[in-house]
Amino acid sequence: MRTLNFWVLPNSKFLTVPDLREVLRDFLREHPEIKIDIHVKTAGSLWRQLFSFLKTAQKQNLPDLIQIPDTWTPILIHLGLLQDLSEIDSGITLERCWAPLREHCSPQGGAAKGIYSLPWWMELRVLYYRKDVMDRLEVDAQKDLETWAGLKEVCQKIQKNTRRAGVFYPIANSNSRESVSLQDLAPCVWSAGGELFSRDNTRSLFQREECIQGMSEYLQLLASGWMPLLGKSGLVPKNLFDGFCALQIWGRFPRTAPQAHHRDHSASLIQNLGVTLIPKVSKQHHSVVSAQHLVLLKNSLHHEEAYSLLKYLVGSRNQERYANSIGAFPCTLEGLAGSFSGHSGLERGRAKSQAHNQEDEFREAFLKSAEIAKPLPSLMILGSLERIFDRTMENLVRAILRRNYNEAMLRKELIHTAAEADYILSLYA
Amino acid sequence: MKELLYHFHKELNRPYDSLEDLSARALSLMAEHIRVDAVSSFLLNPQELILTMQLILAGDQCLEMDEEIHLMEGSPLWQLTEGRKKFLLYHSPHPILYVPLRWTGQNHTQALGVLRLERHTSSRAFTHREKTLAQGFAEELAQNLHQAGTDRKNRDQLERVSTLTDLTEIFATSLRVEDGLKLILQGIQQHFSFDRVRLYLVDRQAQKLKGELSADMRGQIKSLSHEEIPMQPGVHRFVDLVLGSGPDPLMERYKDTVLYLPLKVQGQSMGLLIVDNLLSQQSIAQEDVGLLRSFAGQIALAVDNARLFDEVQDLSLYDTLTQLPLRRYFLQRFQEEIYRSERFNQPLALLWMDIDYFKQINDTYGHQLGDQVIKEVARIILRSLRKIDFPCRYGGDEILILLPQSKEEDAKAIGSRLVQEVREMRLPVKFSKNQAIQVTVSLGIATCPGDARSLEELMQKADEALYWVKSHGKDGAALYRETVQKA
Repeated sequence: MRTLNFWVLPNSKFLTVPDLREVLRDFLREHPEIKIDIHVKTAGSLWRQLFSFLKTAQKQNLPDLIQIPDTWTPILIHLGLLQDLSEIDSGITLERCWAPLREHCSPQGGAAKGIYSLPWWMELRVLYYRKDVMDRLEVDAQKDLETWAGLKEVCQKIQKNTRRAGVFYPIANSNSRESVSLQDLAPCVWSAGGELFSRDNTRSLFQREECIQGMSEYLQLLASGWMPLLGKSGLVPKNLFDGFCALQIWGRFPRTAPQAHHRDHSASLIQNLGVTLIPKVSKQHHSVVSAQHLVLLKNSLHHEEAYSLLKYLVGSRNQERYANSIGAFPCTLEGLAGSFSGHSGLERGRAKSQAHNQEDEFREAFLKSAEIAKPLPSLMILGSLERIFDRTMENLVRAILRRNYNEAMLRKELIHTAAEADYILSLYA
Repeated sequence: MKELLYHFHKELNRPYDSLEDLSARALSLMAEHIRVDAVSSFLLNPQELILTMQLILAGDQCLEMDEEIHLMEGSPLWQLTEGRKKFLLYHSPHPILYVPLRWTGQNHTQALGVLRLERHTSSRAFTHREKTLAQGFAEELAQNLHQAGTDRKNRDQLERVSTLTDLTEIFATSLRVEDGLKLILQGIQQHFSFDRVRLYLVDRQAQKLKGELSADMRGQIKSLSHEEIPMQPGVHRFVDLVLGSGPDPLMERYKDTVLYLPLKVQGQSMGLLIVDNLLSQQSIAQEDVGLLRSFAGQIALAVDNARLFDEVQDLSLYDTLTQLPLRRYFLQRFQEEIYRSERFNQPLALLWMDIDYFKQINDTYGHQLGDQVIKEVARIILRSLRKIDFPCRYGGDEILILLPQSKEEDAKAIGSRLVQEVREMRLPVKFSKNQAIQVTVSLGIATCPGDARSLEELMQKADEALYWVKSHGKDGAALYRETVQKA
């Protein structure tokens, strides 16, 4: 009996292990000689442990198969941690995979020098809204939420008209760390006409006017109190799907109708959901797509078995099954389009024809979002830069909580962050 | 309740592999005895005032999960961690109980974090007994976490002492071996597990701070010789640090991940050692910073000694009088050229030169003038040869010259020109008849593959040709083949 160590991120919180076990059932039936140990790690903990492997040249208790965020692939390749999958399987191809996700599978710049990771599932961001709240406030969601200025007006309107200020918020914060990430801000930056890094990926552009403008717009949601930062009772802030917000930018799709925890929470919330593109800050709509990849550790002792498990998980059927079970999307456009078919939540409590319309509405919105979406750039040290950026955002979030945040502070922080990022880029780019 | 707490105490005092294992066991015992749906442990970052979830136990699963709570000064959770409240109770959105993880010593207490107990599936409020039990469990866990933390610190301290011993040994070794600098950098990188260690050294002559070497997290060494910074204030922050300025605002920003260590020997700046965790973005432990700073003097001394060793090595490769390579270096190079000649089928010539009447010059005019003669002959040789040619002071007044890619006729032409140039040279000597002396040289030439195919054979043939010139009037050059024919 061979035991494979499979390290995953908490993809579906407490359901992470059961959801995975469900998908793995067929694999284990076909491979009775293999046992799979699933370990759930946070991104921070995984990052620390991967570096620890390198520095201590650890040989035992190594994971065989690991889930990593797409932005980590280039740096882990550079550090020599990952197995080139094309060495194991010369026939491996990324053809099926949605094109924007491919460049994160190889060394920086997507050079044709091997395939080191395969996309497993993805999140594609859109703006969700509650139709009942929009109707009550006479908001034409598709029109009024077209621009960021419109979004802010709607937020203001919701806040003004809620009887439960401090409990019910205009827009949810999807970030569980009571903070803001590069992924959260990227669509606003792009839409303001900015970029995060120079085209040749040798400099950061955080301090550029468009970048500052885009980030400022997003942070204004927090600073204005429209987006909650602190959860009540120290819990993660409640969101749209818990019934505590009217809007939410999110990259997944609720697989089942959420339970009604609150009296304002409609039992048929999922049918009450509308979806549209992330509002544009100035020029064009943009969205961000982020994928989770699977990689093999170079030092794994069970490459063959681990690769067959990897292949099984990224195979179209299993990829779709798993992505759908956690509310994410498979990494193909066909898979994305098919994700809404026969959704139980969409059909519940409605006539079949209406449910079908809502299905089409979701499919259309996500496919439109796919047209304007891109991932964060494939930059060798992006994993490290994300951590620097997180620190910057922590500083700003603290200032927002202390009510002394202003745009000058954002500007200063971004100038420093850009200098810090440029220094590392100059060393490693 | 006492019995339960005692059981908890016994369970937590068993050996655990890690803090996580200890916490996981504690959470499962709490969930079992206080009937909750989820228990989570949060650890406090006192500088940032952030509680970060360490583990959450729900049902039979114990997981790591991303959750952070910002503590606002004065907020109920902040008061809890500060020890101003014994517990926090919420009824909405579901029953939640927070208890502090605070370690209490003899004279002071320390906030470690909080535990959160939740009931999702029931609205039953926490009873007085449950609150007391949770507090008791939290106190016990805090004592154990603190103890485990102290044990870990002690273990780390021991490792640091052992690191110190190892590094001292490495530094001592670096005095005796080639690549001493490499050894020092690798030693520091490996023992402290930094992402990278870089070394810059002051070149006083060139007035520059020069990049020397860099060791990465896999112990691989790279040269930084392409980096040169003029030693002027304000030109570059590295130079400013070496010149004694403090860190600039940008350096302050990444002070947790980069440590700059100016190196001084007897008060004189000799370089800069930079260690960083820029890629992993892991903070450098304050204890490591302290250790490295206190060790900076020794590092500087070891680096300086290793550099001196390299200089001495350089000196021993070249003759200080003539600046010509010495026999050891020449033979090594000779071997390589013979190999190259064979491998690429290229000709190679060896010239063996000897100063005529050198003994008489020394006896008549003294060794000082003898030295000057050799020096001048060497100067002519260095001036006349191509870049690829390789001369050497083989010993006394004997000079050997390797001429790669040279056929017999080329070698003869070069040899004859050298003989002529030396003949034309005049060395001023006040007390000689002509106020100057004339020197001549004899030169034997052998070629590969024409005359010989091995190093020894080639040297022997060149020596034989030289002998022939010496015994046939000196002041001339002859090919081995010619001498054989004439003989």
